[in-house]
Formats: sequence, C-alpha cells, structure tokens
Amino acid sequence: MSDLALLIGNPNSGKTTLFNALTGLSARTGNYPGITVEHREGEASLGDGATVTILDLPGTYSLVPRSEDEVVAVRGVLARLPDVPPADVIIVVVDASALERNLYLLAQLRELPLPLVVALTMMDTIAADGLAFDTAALEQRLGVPVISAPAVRGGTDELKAKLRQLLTKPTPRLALEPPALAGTVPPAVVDAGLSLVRELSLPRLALGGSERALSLFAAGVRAAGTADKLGLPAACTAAIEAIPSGDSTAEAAVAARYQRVGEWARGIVTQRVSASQLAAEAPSQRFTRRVDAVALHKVFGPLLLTGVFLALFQALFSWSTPLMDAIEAVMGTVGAAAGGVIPESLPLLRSLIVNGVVAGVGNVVIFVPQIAVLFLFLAVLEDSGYLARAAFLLDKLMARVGLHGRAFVPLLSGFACAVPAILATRTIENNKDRIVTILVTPLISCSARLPVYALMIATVFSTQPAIFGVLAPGAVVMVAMYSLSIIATIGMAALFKRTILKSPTPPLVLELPPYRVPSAGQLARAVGSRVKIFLFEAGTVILAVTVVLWALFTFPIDQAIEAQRDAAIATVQANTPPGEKRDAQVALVQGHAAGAQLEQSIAGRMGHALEPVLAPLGFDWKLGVGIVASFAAREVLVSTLGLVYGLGDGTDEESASLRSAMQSDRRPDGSLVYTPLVGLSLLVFFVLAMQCMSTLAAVKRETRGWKWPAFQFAYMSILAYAASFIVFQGGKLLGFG
Amino acid sequence: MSTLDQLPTGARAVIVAVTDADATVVRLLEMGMTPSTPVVITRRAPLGDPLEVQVRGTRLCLRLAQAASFRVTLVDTGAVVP
Repeated sequence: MSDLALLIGNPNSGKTTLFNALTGLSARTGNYPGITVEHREGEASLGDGATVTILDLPGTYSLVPRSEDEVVAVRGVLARLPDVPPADVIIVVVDASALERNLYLLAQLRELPLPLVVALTMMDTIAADGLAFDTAALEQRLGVPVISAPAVRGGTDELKAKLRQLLTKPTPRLALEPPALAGTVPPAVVDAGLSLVRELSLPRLALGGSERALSLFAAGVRAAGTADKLGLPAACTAAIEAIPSGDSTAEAAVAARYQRVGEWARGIVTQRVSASQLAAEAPSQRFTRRVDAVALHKVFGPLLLTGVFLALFQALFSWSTPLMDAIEAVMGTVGAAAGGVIPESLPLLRSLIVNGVVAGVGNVVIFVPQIAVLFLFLAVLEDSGYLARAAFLLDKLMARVGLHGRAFVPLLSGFACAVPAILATRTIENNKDRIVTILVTPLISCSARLPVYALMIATVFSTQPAIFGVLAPGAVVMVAMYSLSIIATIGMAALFKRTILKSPTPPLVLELPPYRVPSAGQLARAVGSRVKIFLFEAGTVILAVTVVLWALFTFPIDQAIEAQRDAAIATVQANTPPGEKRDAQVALVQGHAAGAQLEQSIAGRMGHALEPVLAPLGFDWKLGVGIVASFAAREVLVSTLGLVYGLGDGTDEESASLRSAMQSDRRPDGSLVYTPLVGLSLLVFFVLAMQCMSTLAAVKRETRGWKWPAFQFAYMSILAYAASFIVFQGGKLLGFG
Repeated sequence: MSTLDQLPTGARAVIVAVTDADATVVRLLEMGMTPSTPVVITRRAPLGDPLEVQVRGTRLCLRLAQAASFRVTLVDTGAVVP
C-alpha cells in the first residue's frame, strides 16, 4: 500500500505542470465511482526506490467549494472520496506571483491538523520581474515546509527530497487556531462544527481540537449552498443546513483570514532592482496587458472573438475534411477486403460484416478528426488564457438567456458534433444550467446534418430561380437552416430556464490569468482523452445501432425477389456481350432488386406504417424509411435513400443519380414527391429532431440516468414535428403546393 | 460614499464594507476583496457588464449586481490630467 499525496491549489497556478513533472509518464486519468469529475493520478519516484502516489485534485480557490470540481478537491482533503484514504501528505501549490490569494487556501488548510508542504510555483516569473522572494521567512511564518518548485529540469528535486523526508519521518500535525472573530458565533454554527469533528474523524485524520475551524467551514458551506454535495454523513449535512440563512459568520471569517494572510505575506516579495526602475511594469505582465488592450477592447475585442470563432469553423470544416476522406477510403478498402475473405456462399455473413460491422466502425471513426480538431482548438484557447477573455466579453449575452458564460464552449462545439460538446458541459458549475445546456446542444446544426442539407438543397432548390435575381436559393436556405438552429437553441434554453429548470442566472466570478503558451504535451493529453472517451462511449453505441439497423434493413429476405433478380441477371448475361454496358445493366438489376428487398424488409414496412403520420409533413414512405435509418446517425439518410431508390449502397449527397431519381419521383396521383416545400419541411425536421443514438448515450452518461435523454428525445421530436407541420401545411395554405 | 459599480474606469478606491453578502459575494471576498483592500477599476465589458478590477495582484471580473455590494471610498478617479 503506497503512500498517498494530494496535490491541491488554485486554478492556473502551475499545479498541472508540477503534477506532470512529478509523475512523468506514469500519469493516468480515471473516474471516482459515482462522480463525473475525472481525476489524474500517478507515481513519483523519490529516490532509492521510494515512491508516492500523487492524486491531482481539481483546482480550487477555497476549502469552501462552489462547483462540482471544487467539491471533489475538498472531499479529497477531508477523506470523503470513495476509495481514497486520508492523505499521508498534502502538497499545496502556491503561485508566488499571486501570493496573497494563494495563501488564503493555505490559511484554511492550516486550521486543520493536516500534513502540509508548500510548493512554490511561478518562481521564474518572480525572477524575471526583478523581484526577490524570501522563502525562509515564509516558512518560518507558516510553520510548514516551503519548497520552491520551478518548472525547469530538476526543479522538483528539492520537493521530492522533502516528501521523502516527511513520509519516512512524519512531523506532528499542528493546526493553527483560526483567527478570532468579532462578536459571538451562533450556536447552530458551533453545533455544526462539533458534528463534523465527531463524524469525520478517522485514525489518520484526528480532527479533535478543530471544532472552531470546522464550525467556520460549516458556516462557509452553508453560505455557498453546497452542504449536500460533500458526501458528508447525514447528521453533518443536517447540522450545516440548520444554520440560519443570512448568517454572517462566513464573511467575518474570510476577512479575518485575509488579515492573517496579509501578515504572512508582508515583505516576502520585494523589489530587487534599483529605485529608478521601480516605476517600470513587471515584464511578465506587459505582454498580457498589451494583448488585452486589443482582446478586451470595446470594438476590437468582439471583432477578434468573431475571428477566432470563424477560424474554429474553418478548422472544423476544412482541416478535418481531408482526414475524413482518407478514413472513408480506408474503411472502403477494409470493407472490400473483408468481403473478399468471406466466401460467396455466405452472402448474409458477408453483408453483416461489410454493411454492418465495418460500416459501423467507419461511422464511428469518421467523427474522430472533427472531435480532435475541435478539442485541440478549445484546449489551446483554454490553456492560453483566451477563453476567460471570451467569457468576459460574452457574459452579458449568455446571462440574458439565463445561461452560464462557459456554456458557449459546448454550444460552439455542437457545430461539429454534439457528443464531445456534451462532454464539455462539465465545466458548468450549476447542475440545472448544465442540464439546460445539455438539452439544447443537439439543436445546434452538427456536421452530420450537412450531407442531408446538401442533398435536399441540391435536389429541390438547385433548379429554382435566383432570389432577387442574385442570391442562390440554395445558399439562402442553408443560412436559414443554421439561423433556425441557433434561434431554436437560444429559445429553448430561455424556456427551460424559466420553466422546468428554473434557477437564477449563474453568478460570475472570473479570474483573468496571464497569457501562457500551452504545453504541447498537455494539449495532446487533453485531446487524446476526449477522443478515447468518444470512441468507447459513443462509438460502441453507434456500432451497435448500425448493426441493428442492418438487420432491420436486411430481414426478411424475399426469395421470390432473389429468384427474379438471378433470372434477370442471367438474361442480361446471355443477351449482352461482356463489357461496360453489360456491367451497367447488371448493376441496374441488382439495384432494383435491393430496392424491392428493402421495401418489404422490416425497415421498409416501418416506413409504410409511418406514412400516415408523416404525410401531414409532406413525407412519403421512402422518406419514412430514411428517417428511421437516420436515428442511428443523421447522414445515413442519404445512403438509405440511395438504397431505397434502387441505386445500391455507396451513394452520397453528391450522387447525381440519386438526385435525379428523387427529382423525377412521383406519387401515385402523379404529383412530384420532392417539391421545394417538401424539401423545406424535411430540412426543418432535420434541424430540430433528435436523431442520434450516440448523443442520447452521451446524455445518459453525463446525467447518470435515462430520464433526461428520454425527455430530450420527446421534446425535440415534438418540436420537429410541429415545426415541419407548420411549414408544410402553412406553405400549402399559402399556395406554395 | 459610493459602491464599486458606480466608479469610473481607471478609478482607484479602497473597499470599506460589504453589504448583502450572498454566496457569490462571499466568494469574491475569498478572492481578496475584503474591507481595507485597495481596488482598481480596469475596464468594463463592451456591453457594460461585467466589470474587470485589479485586487491584491489578481485580475477579477464580476457583475455590476455583485459590485454594488461593495462600499468603497475613492482615492483617485484615474482621469488623465490634460
């Protein structure tokens, strides 16, 4: 049983860099059971074979938590995380360039009998700014070891030596008495403290004597409203919630602690340079200040932000395209090879492998380039510090909808794919806001809808005259669909926030860190873990659904149609000499046969069964089949329509034969199946409908249950049907026919 | 005496007292905005809200609604003397 060290500190304090320096390649990501927040854990070798397991806790500004991330950090310190014992040592990361704020957390930790060691980061910034840092004096005032841990080679040697010393010969844990408060502390606060001491004490975490410290903690937790999230025994939670609301102990405690922090910090950081240079700005801040003069400018700020978003889209839609094409080509080759391996006598098995399994894997892997590009972009924005500036600029807009400022990140991600976007909602602190964001994210037009838009627009709008004589109707419709998706997203978010997920507009407390160059290693790790999650969580669902759909589309097999096809092929082969013409005729026969099989398959019958329901929207049974198929993945509509129209598999949205088949298709009464109005109705349906099993799987995972995915499916289906109905019937009434 | 949200851009002030402390205001206190602390108004967002301030070496953004909870005394308006 290895020793355990916890790593705790403010966000943006260089904690992750320190963790990586200590643990190197041994670091791995995992999940606490029952908790969505991921954690990183690794081993540090301290010399002579001694090792310690280091658990990187999420960044927190205070021991009184406000967000899900911070709750995990606090639970770690109090030994309330499942499967995590009390720590043998707690490494407190203190950013030397923001000393007082970082010492606040340390002040709270010093009030408990915990085995602490302080690791000073950003010491290179201090040096570069011509400042001196009196480490020895700070150590003496704090009463715990203070070690400088610069981000250079060998920078962690001193820290590792100290850890080794502390782990082999632990020093007595002496807690500091919390600072005195003016006035008396309410009895409910005192009682909560006593309850915590009684219930939380463990052999390796003896809290006797910490009644005052824990009573202040209780008051803070009551004010923050997070009592029920800490995994505390019921008696403690009840005692904390018994503290009257409006109690001011927490405020008084913060102010008193900062008095202490002020005394600790006095004179620790001093100017090293001469008096004449005192007026000069610290070099480390100059770059940030200059960039922010533009990035946060009233006019240039929003312009730059728009530019960044446009660059993101450009990256998503154009950089990933060559990769996606390559993947399609590879999967095609793999499919052909697999098909070649299986003997002709087992056509069903071959079909399952090629059209079910290989196609399913292809459907999953094709998403990877977009997910990777998106998360790389976001990781760069976050690690560089720019995302905080974006949150500052967008806050008022997001607040008006009632959403959290950080919600714009998942919403933006939704333009690529909703699955990673839903993963990205973890940064939203308030659970209700998080659920609202999760519920509306799929309304954003993801890239899988694009082939459907392209096909429909090319089929029904390419032959229409230009609007006002200049604008291509196709382009106008495309813009209209994207606008509709954005309006629907904002509208539903506002509606949910006012009705079923009512909660006050989330507050804003945002730190603007200095700009930093992101580390390539950290970026690679961030992207890699997201892609992995996608592949295993959404990937398995997509694969399974593709196989199920394959079955729905393949069975039952009508032997009469098979026999007719074989006879027709034999006739062609007998009457036509070998060559291109014969191959084309054979392909035609096969295509027609496949279409006929499909019509009488389970999926085909479902399409026919749905026809009365879909008729008011202007759809016929073939579109019904396509819609059934697209519940696996939206872009499957296109290849399914190809199958239905007897063109065999492998049609895409650029297929001219599919387009002409659709354009010439007529209903039994002679009218065209695909009029511009039908096209519009279908487009509107696809904008708003929930047609993605992997999104539902991701939602189920992130909300830990089936309630929300079921609700999401229901509300989006109703929305899509109603909108499509209004468009089609309304259009007919207005005479568009 | 004014409140933090009433100060112009560039102003330097000292926090005197905190009123109506909700969970967010307590968190702002924890970030360093305690009584007797100097604070500088750096800028406002393009739409007027939120506010960026400098306090104890940290650049912090908060909404006008929370800034109204901080009573301050003005030290310097930060206006440029022509």
